[in-house]
Formats: sequence, C-alpha cells, structure tokens
Amino acid sequence: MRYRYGTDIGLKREENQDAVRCEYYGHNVLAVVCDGMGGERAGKEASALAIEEFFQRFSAGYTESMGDEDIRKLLVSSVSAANSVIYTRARLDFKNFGMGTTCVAAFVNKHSAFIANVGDSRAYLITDKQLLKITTDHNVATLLFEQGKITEEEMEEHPQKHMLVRAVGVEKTVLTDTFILDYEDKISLLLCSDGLSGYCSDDEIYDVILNSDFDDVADELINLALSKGGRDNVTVAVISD
Amino acid sequence: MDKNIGKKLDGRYEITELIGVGGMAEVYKGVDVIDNKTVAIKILKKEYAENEEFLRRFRNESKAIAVLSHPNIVRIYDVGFSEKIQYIVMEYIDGITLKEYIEEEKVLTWKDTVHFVIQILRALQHAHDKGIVHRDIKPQNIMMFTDGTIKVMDFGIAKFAREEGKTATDQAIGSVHYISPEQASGNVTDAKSDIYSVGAMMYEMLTGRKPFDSDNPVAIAVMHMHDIPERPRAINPDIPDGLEEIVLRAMEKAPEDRYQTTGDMINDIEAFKANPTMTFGYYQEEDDEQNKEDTINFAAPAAELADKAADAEPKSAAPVYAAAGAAGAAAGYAYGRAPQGGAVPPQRYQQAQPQGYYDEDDDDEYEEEERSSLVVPVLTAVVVVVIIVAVIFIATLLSGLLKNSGKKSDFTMDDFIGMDYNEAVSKYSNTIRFEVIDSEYAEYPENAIIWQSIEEGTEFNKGDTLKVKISKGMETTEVPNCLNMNQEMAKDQLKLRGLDWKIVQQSDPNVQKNYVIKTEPKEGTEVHKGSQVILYISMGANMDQVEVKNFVGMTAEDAAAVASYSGLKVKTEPKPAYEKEGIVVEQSIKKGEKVDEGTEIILYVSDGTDPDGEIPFKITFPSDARGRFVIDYIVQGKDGKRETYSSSNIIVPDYTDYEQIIPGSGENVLVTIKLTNLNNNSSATLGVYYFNFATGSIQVQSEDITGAFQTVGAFPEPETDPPTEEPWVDPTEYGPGTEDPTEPPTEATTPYVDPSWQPGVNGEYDSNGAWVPYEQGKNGDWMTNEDGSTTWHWYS
Repeated sequence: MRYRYGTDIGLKREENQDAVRCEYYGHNVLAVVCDGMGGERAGKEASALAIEEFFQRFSAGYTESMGDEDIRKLLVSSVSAANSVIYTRARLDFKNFGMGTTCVAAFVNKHSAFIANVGDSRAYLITDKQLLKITTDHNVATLLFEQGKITEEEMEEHPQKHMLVRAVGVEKTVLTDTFILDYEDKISLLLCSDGLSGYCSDDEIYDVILNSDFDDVADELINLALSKGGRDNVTVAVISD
Repeated sequence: MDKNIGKKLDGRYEITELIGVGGMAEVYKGVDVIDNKTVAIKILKKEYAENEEFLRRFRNESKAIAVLSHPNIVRIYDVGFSEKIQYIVMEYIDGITLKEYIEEEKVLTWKDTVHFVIQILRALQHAHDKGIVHRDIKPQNIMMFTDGTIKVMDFGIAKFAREEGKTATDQAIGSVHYISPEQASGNVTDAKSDIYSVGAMMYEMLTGRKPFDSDNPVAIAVMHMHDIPERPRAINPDIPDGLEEIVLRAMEKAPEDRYQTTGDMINDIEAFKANPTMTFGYYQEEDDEQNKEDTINFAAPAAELADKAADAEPKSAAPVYAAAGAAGAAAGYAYGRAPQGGAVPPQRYQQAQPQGYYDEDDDDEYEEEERSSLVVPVLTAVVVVVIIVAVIFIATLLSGLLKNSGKKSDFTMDDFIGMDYNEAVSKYSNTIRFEVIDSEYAEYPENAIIWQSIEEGTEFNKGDTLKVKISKGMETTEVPNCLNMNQEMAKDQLKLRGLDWKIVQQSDPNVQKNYVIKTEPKEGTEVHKGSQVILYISMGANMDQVEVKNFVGMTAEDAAAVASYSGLKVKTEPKPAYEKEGIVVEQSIKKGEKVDEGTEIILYVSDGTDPDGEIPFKITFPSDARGRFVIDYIVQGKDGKRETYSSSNIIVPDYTDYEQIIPGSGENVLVTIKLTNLNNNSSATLGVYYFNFATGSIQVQSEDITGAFQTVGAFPEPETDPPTEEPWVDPTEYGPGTEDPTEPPTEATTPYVDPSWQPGVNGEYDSNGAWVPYEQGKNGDWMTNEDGSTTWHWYS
C-alpha cells in the first residue's frame, strides 16, 4: 500500500484552509482530507483541529483485529470526536462563529476500503476504466438534485453549490456517511477537496492520474487545479496498492 | 407389405399407406380416428431409433414446427416418442413438391415465381421471428396445392437460432444445390442462409437451371462458396431486370450483402410486383467498374479455384463456367467475367469421376425416392458428415492455394485499421477504391477503419475495391434504474446494458439491507458501454442515536429530506388538515427525543382537505312542553351539500334535554336545527348556528327553543302556563372556543328584538354586555306578531 498527498493554497486565496494527513497502521493506510470554513483563521483552525482529533481518536481506538463494522464505527466516532472539539471551540469564541470543516477519510486494509464523509470533499475510486465518485456532496445543490428539483447541469452551476448542509463542528452532533468497498486484487482511491473536483472534470483528473508516475501524482493533480485558475485551496491524497 | 400399415398408433392414428421414404424416416398416410381426418405420419426408421443423433434431430423437427403456426408452414398435430416408435403426426397435404412442379414446367413465369416465393418468405419470416432457421430450403421441401398455395416443410435440421454452439452435424448439412456459402464452409448459419437458399431456388424457377450444378456435390458446395453463377437474364432474357436484382441480392456471397431479413426481400418483391419495370440499382456501382481495367473479379479466382480443385481432387471440377457467354459478358454485371474470356461454355462440369468417399448416392437421386410425398428427404448422416468434412477440407486447401495464386499485382495492401476513413481515402484514392460496407460501435474513434477486406501485406491491383467497416465510436447506453432492487437484480440490469459495476456498501435507514440505494452515475445518465457504475448497497441502518428535529410546518419534501439525512426512516401519511396541502402537521416522534438511527418517524402531511370533526349539541327543552318530537340537524357543507341528521323520537317531558353528536368538517358550517311535532307534523326552526369543526366551537346565529315549541303547538296551555321556569341555554355551554361570545346576537345591545331577525334566545345581552334572561311578566313579555310568530318585548 502506497500513498501520496499534497495541498496547495492555490492562486487566489490568502490562506490555505485545507488540511491533509496520511498514516500507516501496519500495512493499512488511513488518509484524511479536510476543507475548513469560517473567517479570521477559523477555517484553517477547524480543518487542522479536525485532522488532529480524528487521528488521535482513530489511533486510540484502532486494533489490528478489528472487524469491518468496528472499523466503520471507529471512523464515525473519529468524525464525531472532531465535531465535538470544533463545536466546543466555536462556542468559546464569537470570532469562531461559523467555524467548521469538511472531512473525508479513507481507511484501506487488504480487502476493503472504508470511507467516511461529511461535506463536499470527495472520495473517488480509480479503476482501470475511469474515475468513480463514491461520496455524496453535502451541499444545497446536490440535495436539490437528489430531490429531482434541478438537473445535473443546474447543479454544476448552482449558486449554492458550495453551501454545505452538513459539516463537522457546526452542530452539536454530526451525521457521517460511511461506505465500504470490498476489493480483490488492487485498489486505488483519490481523496480531494473541492479545489480539485470543483474545477476539473472527472475525465481530466483521470487523465492526469493515468499519465503520472505514482510519485508525482499528487503534484500533477495540484498542477491540474492550478492550471484551471487555482481559485480555491487544493488538496489531494492518493492511495494505491 | 410394409409392416407398419394397418397399425394404429396411440390408439388414434391408423396407418393406411406408405407415401414416401426419406433418409431417416418413412412417411405414411393415415387417419386420425378421433378427429376423423387424414394425416401424414412420419416415423423414424427402426435402424435410426437407437442413434442419439438421429433421435435428437427427429425430435428437433417436432420441436421446431411445434412453435410455428403459419398458413404456409405444414402443421404438426401430435408427436409420439415412445421407446418403441418415434413419430410425428402432421397435416396431410395432397399436392406436389415444388421440385416436381419445376421439373414439369421447366421454367416458371416470373408471376408464378413471385407468387410462390412470397409465400415461402412469409413462412420463413414467421420461423425467423421465432428464432428458427430452416437451413434446408429446397424445392423438394416446398409443397404446393393445386390452387398455388405453398407449404414449407421439413424442419428436420432446423436450428434454433439462439442455441449456442455447434456440433459437427450442425455445420454443413442441407441440400448442396441451394446451400449458402457460409453453410457450405461450415460457418455459423442464420436467417440470411435461408435467404440465400430462397434466392437459389428463385434462380432455378426463373431460369430452369440450378445456380451451380455438378455430379460432385463437393464441387457444388465449393462453387456456392466462391463462384458467381451465370446471370439469370443471360439464360432467360424474359426475366425482368428488377427481379434479377432481387435474385442476385438474395444470393450474395457475404451474408451482410444480402437482404438482412425476409421482410426486406418481401418488400422488394412487393415493390417489383407493383411495378415490374422497376429496377433497384443495387448493382449500379459494378456497372461503372465494368469499364475499369483490373476490376476485382470473383469469377477469376473462381475459375482458378476450380482448376486447383481439379488438381487437388483427381480430375475434379472443371473450369467453372466462366464468362457466361457473350450475353453475360456484355451485361453490366461484374459476374461471370473470367480473364480467360469466356471460352468455356457455362454449366459444364465435365469431370465426373466419383470420389472415393462419395457414393452414387447423389442428392438428386436420393430425392427421387421420395416421390410425391411430403416427406423429408434427408441425406443420410453418413453422407452428410462426409460432405462436410470434404467441403471444409477442400475449401481450406483451396483458399490456401488461392492466396499464392501468382497473379501479377501492383501493390501490397497497407494496414488501415485505426486510420480515419477520410484520411485513408484522401491518401490512397489513387490506388484503392474504398467501399464502406458497415459501421459498428467500437473502441476506435468515430469513422476510424476497424476492418478491411484485404489483409495487410496482401498483393492487390490498382483500382481494386477494399471493403472496410468503420467505427461508430463507442456505443453509449443509459444507466438503468436499479433503485430498490436487490444487488443481484441490479447487476443483471447493468449486465443487460453492457455495463460494469463496483459495489459500495453504505448504511441507509430507508433502504432494506442488500438493496440498491442509488447508483453513480444516476439513472438515465448516458455512459459508454462497458463503463462502470457504482451500486450503493444498503447495509441497513446504523445504531447511532439521532436527535429528532421539529418537522411540523415544513413541506413534506423538505421534512423527508432532512429527516432521512439525520438518519431517520421516514414515512409520510396524508391527513386532512386546515394547513396548506403538503405541509407537515404532526410528527410521530416529538422534537428533541433521542432515538436509534433508522427509527421510523411518521410525518403526517396535510392533504388539503378539511378534517372530519364532531360536535355534541345539547338542547334543553322547555319544562312545560309536551309531546313526541323529532329534531333534524341540517348541516350545510362548503360545497353546498346538505347532510341531515335526525334524532330518535323524543318524548317530552320524559326527556328534559337531548344531545346529538353532529359530524362534519370545515370551519364555518351552517347548521339549521328543526323541530317537528310528531303529533301534528308541524315543524319550526329551532335555531341557526355556525359550527366550527376545526375547533369544536359554535357560533349562534339565531335560536328560539321555546318559540319553536310554541310554533309546533307543544304547549297545551301556552297562555296560562308560560315557560317561566324554562332554563335558558347559556351560549357558552357550546364550548369556550366560541369565536366571539360577545358578538352574537349583535342586536342584543338594544332591548328591541327585530322581528325579521329570528326571534331570540332565552335572554339577551344588555348594553353593558351582561346577559339578561327573559323573565316573562317580570322584565318583559311575549307578543304575538301578525304572522303568528312571537317576539319578546321588554318592559320599559
């Protein structure tokens, strides 16, 4: 199992509110991407806190012998832990009003990938044919699309495309989507913030992945986002075996 | 004497005479003693009854015809497959075969030909639609009635087109005179093989000659594979051009060049019938080509091939009728032109040496046996297999020789696969004529060449035609609906569309475990065939706790979305309510309660209709009223519909009051209460009210209980015994929710009671808003008006 990750402030923002971390647990890998929100450094703090708390909680709960359901639950409680910490911090200081973060996490062991998601950062499965989006974006536009009120095209252009309906640290509790993907021989996953997925098509992303050395894949993906204008912070993590 | 004659099969079919003998079966005329009709009975020969292969084929025939039902196909009535005897009971046809007819007539008129062929095609169309290919279409399998009706029979080697796989005997059986090239070469046969055979029959009907003939069936089969038959009009110039085109098109060597369906062929024949002078122009291009130098020419290899065949097989097929005489050569059809220039007369296969492995048992001779029967002339299996093997062997040998046949060539063919068609044409149009014969979906970009008829490296001549197939690009399909299907069904749906999938499990309280929650991409999205779709399969609900939010006042859609987002299982139920339709008016779990994820919450949603309610209404009777009464409650709904509820009979003074529960819906419903005295049948209005079923409150518009009793004559001595004791009805008794108790009656501020206003309550509000009861003789008195009604007058 290998991973590569990277984050970049982009070309337009004054601050990088994204955060990313990948770690080995034995041969298994845990990767987390967070995209913070809120002004006055609150966004940056939120994503950093989330990653810190997430890994702390996961490491405390993780054992080699965990079953699938236990791993899934551990991911959920790690998100919940991050949520509590940010929520509490936000209440302590009015400056932190609206502080929150997205959080997409993937834990990959030798037979399955476990994915937890809150917000609009994404996890993709990279197959030999294409890029397949696993997670659902928790924003207003997607919600309207899923309700059938707007078309896919309208969703792409929707003014509330970036307005989240779920985020870590905004409410007392948070509901986390979890996904389990069993695999046989090989698996490759991409986690990214909307600085990549919001400005590049799946095909463009897939092309870059196909045509990059694994060692450079994170940088190449960031370059792709920058080539599209770099309007947002961009963060990627690629796991592959 | 045949041992079978006189037998009765299954106690029903009496065998009367032998009418034909086929390769593996005998056919008898018989009588169905139950239905009392003549039938044909085909009985598998004893010697074959133990052979699995024969049994299979024999049963196959019955299976094939059994699914067919068409006026032009011989009907099958019954089958008997016992250990002792195998038979098929069929329609008895008193007629002759088309073979016999052709022999008698020599050449058929085009009108007769068309008349017969259309019927044959219709029969085949029916069979093809059912997925059955006949594979042995020949004149001896076509029966004719004297009125010209045709019946196709002998589906003995018919193939269910959808059956996969081939067996040796499936490959190249059938009569060699009408055999399609693909059948002769042992390739896969389909409906288009039947079309070829029909074309070959038509050829014979119109010209009186079989397209190819030889003493050697192997040579015939080879010719079907490689040779161009002589042009029909060269033999019989009376054949109309259009009909000739139809024959030629049906007999194209490559199945893809033929009519693709019997329907297509019927359409052309019908068009031709409507206008026999028409032409279709199918062979226009070849006309042009005629003038070019090195026109690719099938006749050339054919002739060579025949030569080689002669070498390969000692003195086998002689030079095949190359240039079919001057007429043929002059005709604008590329066909039949041999480089040698037409020295050899057509239709001569001079060699005649029988092959070692091949008996005298010629196809034709063999058919002779059958005579005028509806029988199945089937080659014996042995011969069939030998022919197949021989044909395939020779064909392979010949094509090998053909490749090296040292014709002088100008160029070597390039590899065009993957090249854009337009680019290829612009680069090579000087040397190669390109002909697009088909376009298919492929992984190559649109318009790229994906197949070429002449292989790379093969030598070819300038101006030769290279047939190519081009790509239509990647085939797309829509993501099918998979929602709420179980995993396996959903996979089948995707498989049907040629899509691949990945399974992602997700917890979802609203979707049953193992069922599809959603797909990515979504249903209806256009995707390339072979691409992948994520199936999100529900793992059921998590056991996390969820705090229930308030949903009342939200639209049902929003509430359902929010509730399911928060992990609740949502059920909505419509409910009549005064809120706008679609608004949640009630939720089964209170706001703030903590429940397990996946707990079901029922959201009651207003359906916009008024809810039903009921209001109890109590009337206290004047104490001195006497008699039997009925009270009617007339409820006038919003839509103007009146509903009347009636009390039971009330005997006063046994009853001192009466309460009726009045059902209804709406907020402002007019209720009129009527009193009827059963003793004299006179009625009077007791009161008029507005009921609010939403709140259960009542607004009194007018009420005069005593007055009503008086009107109906319920007081024996009204003058001497006025209802002083009569308890008045407190309006507040109708419920504290009364909209505005101070409002009715509005006139109560004045002591005078307007007679036009339904006379009063048993008291009135004074100017200070205080209730003052009527106390007859003390503060006022009843006065009788001119109309007989009474009005309260206060003492001043």
